[in-house]
Amino acid sequence: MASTSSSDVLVLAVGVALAAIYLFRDQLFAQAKPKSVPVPTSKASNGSGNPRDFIAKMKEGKKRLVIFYGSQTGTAEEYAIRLAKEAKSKFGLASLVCDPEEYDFENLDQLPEDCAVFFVMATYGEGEPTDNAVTLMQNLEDESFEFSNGEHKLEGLKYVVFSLGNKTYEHYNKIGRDVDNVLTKMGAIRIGERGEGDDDKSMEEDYLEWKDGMWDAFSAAMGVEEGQGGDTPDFAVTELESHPPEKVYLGELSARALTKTKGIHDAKNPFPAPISVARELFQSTHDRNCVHIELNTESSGISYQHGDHVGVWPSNPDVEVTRLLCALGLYEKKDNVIGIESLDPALAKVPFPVPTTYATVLRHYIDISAVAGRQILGALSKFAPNPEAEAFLKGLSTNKEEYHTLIANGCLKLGEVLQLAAGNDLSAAPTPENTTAWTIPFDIIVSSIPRLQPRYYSISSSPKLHPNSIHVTAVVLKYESIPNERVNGRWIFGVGSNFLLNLKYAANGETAPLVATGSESKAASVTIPGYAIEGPRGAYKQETIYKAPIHVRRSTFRLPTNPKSPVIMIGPGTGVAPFRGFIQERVALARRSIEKNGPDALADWGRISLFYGCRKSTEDFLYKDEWPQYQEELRGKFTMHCAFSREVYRPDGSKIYVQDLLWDDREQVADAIINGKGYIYICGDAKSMSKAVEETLAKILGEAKGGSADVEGNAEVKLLKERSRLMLDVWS
Amino acid sequence: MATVDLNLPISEILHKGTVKSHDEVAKSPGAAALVNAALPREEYVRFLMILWHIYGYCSFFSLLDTVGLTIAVISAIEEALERHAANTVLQPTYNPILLARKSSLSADISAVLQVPESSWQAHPIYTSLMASPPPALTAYTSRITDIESTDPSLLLAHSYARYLGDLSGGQVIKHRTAKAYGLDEQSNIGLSFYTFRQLGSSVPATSQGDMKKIKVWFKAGMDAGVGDDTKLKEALLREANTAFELNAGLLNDLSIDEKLQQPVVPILQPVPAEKTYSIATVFSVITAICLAHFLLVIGGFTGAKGYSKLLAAEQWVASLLS
Repeated sequence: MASTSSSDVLVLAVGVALAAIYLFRDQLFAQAKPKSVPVPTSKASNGSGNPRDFIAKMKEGKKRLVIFYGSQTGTAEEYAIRLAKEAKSKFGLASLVCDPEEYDFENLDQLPEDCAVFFVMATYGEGEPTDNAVTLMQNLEDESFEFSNGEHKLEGLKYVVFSLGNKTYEHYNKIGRDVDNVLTKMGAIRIGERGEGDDDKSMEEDYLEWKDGMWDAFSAAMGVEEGQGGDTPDFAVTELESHPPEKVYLGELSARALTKTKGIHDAKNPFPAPISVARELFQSTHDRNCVHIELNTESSGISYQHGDHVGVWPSNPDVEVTRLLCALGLYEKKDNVIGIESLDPALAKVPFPVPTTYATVLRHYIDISAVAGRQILGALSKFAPNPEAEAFLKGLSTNKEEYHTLIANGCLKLGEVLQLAAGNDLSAAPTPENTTAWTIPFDIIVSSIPRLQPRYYSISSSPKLHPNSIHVTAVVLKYESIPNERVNGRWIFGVGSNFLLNLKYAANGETAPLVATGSESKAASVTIPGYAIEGPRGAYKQETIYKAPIHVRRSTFRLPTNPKSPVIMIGPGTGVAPFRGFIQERVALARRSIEKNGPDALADWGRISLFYGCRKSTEDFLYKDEWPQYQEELRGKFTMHCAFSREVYRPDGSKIYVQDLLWDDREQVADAIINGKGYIYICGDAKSMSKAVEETLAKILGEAKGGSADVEGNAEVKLLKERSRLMLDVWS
Repeated sequence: MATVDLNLPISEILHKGTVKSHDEVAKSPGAAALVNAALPREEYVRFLMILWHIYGYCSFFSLLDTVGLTIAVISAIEEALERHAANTVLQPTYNPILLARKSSLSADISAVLQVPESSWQAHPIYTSLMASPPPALTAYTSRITDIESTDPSLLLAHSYARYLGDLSGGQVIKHRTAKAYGLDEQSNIGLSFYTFRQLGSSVPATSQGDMKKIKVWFKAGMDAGVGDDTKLKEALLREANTAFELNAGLLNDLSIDEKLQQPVVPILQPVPAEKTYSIATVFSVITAICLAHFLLVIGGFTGAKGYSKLLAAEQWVASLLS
């Protein structure tokens, strides 16, 4: 038996060894494999030749301009890219945008006659070049550095300089000036003036002021004419004959969403959050809506803080998608699969995931619901179906006033403008039959209409009470456009809030009521726009649950950590949203403190005051039934001041607003701020409300300091802002 | 320590009196690796975690502390500043909403690791960091703990050393870091540690000028808080140099991969995970052994039968070779 048992062991050992080798093959044989060395992608593109030879690269890419940037924090790099874009759009000239650290300068003297070099140079600290420009500067300034001609000379080299710096530092723009001087000394010829931008305040204006003159000089020096570049496309759009359908983006916002792989959720990969609650907040909804929506974030890994914003990713309404598809003559091919490639990835990236379809791009990826811009109308005029339409668009693009009355006040979207120009009926449901097709290349649409952006809302809950749920409070945006001789007044619907309203109806199985026609409305279209809320491939609908794609954006709008600090919050209308979260945050803390230290735990807490305003307590009082409960839980520390502008009036009949209530409470307010080191928060409309509240605060503080609103008051407001004790979350 | 005129405002004293320590830190290989974003991704994350501990490792305890529930044992800069917000020396520069870095560090760690913010503390990089915290980290936090109990005014020196650094050199690191680790500066995801808001506003600060305004404000606040107290100035200068040394210690601890030290080569791929064997792997080995044994037994490859089969196989192999 001895022999058999030993063979037993032998056989087993071989089996075990083989199994182990197989299982650990990665670790065992890893050393043998060549290690993959990361290679910067920028260098990978050029197969042959010296990757540090920019002249060769220019020749290879038929580029007549090379733009070097000396950049430390990226600003100079941005301007370098802008110059490259402008050179392309104005003159049709392609540029090589270069980090000087990645190239050698020995052959700078070999730049062909018909080419030019740009230097966009930042000055850092005490007049030093940025790290990536150190060698470049040494090469240029060192007399013993020889170019390929064997000399330290750059005879006839054409160059442009834009220099970036900060006036509050000594040695303002030193590097740009040095480059300019040393190049001139070497016999190079500057085109136009040297541009100088002041990073402290006016970089953008400085740039704008400089560039027109420079481009004029450039055009003369290079012998190029403006207008040659209009037709150079940024993108190449191709229809793909056969493509695996599961790899086509139909509105998915990330690769992870398409492949259904796990990953963290952020602005690059929004989370489809199930809607757990959706209800109307206004007591009276005959002409307005305000929706309260609770988004379930369970198991998404998403966390938030009170005061953060939630970005909701809407899609465009059905009617606008169809309208533009018809106007572009793409209705029949709307579901064709297309690929889009950037023709110069350094200058323009494809702004959304591809491959996709025409309809998807218009529905999910670009903002076709915005009022059509003036510039794009000029660019599109040459594709008009008839001379009248062409003249109409040209007129709009050159005549600011006409554009303003007709398009801006009329709130016309691109599809509507195209219809109007072609003489189509805007009020009819768009079809290929009633809409004239324009032959606009799709790449122009892609490069001239911006990406559809998420809509941000101040979160109206606290994670301490609702760890797995984000609450949104959104008034539904709907207004009438101003009629003009060509277009009647129509209802205009905000994309984000109506998308939410749609979701609310769907989540509750309600049918959308007709828009009220109570006012003497000439509005033609009276139905609320419909959206494809079930999402791409039905991803946003699970049985009866609807989902909205969201991500959280961090804000600095936060309560002081210490509850002893008094807090004053001013938030009329939906401006109250973050303050509901603030109050909930304090309620959660109060519960824990009381549980631990007994009923007197809140005795030394600071006062919490909320100034709220709406029309009537019976019409649009948000969260009316919740506040009394919060007041009870906060044991008298929380007081609410409400201004009902259409219910309670002054003796003289004038309306009362939040700032008036603030003024009425001025003694307490001043005490909380000056003696209590309190915090003030304003949320809501930036234009009128926020400004009025700040003025009232200045008045209160000026008076309390024994001075005036203009001097002491404003100084105090500035100080509060600098210490982040007066904070704003406002929108216009 | 250099001799500095103690009649100058504290902001100038600290600027002049820390030039040497500052330059020593700036010239260290660790700082160079950081500025050039030449750290392996894991090491960069580990560094963010260390910073997270130094700025404030445990907001929950400090929150409870303010309502008198419990007391944090180890101090970190931002919690300590919070507890001493009313200290007259610290008060003028107390502005956590503008300056605090702790929560942005947490967000960045989460983004770089691609792990939800709530769970990065379970990540192996963090657990191994906690299992044996580097001495430089312990030295830093114990120094903060010490001065908090003996002389909290000295926290100002630590605020100065960290925040002004983040506002200055941090901006350079941001750009390099974004490129090296493939982070998107537009969306700012993973880069919030280096991002500040404009002074007195909620608008992000984008230019060198915006940063300078914050620095000017901070220095004015230091000057106002310290006033003419020369004894305090002297102590603060000493503490600021200590702060630089502590930071130098953190940077010296960075393990710099020599191969990755070339400044222009971005690290595009995360370094492969550590070579330990997961439970799943070990389990599958055991399963494989059992399975192998089972097959050998069932297939009759054991015992006498097995031996005869082995002999037959040997003969077959021999016949093939002959």
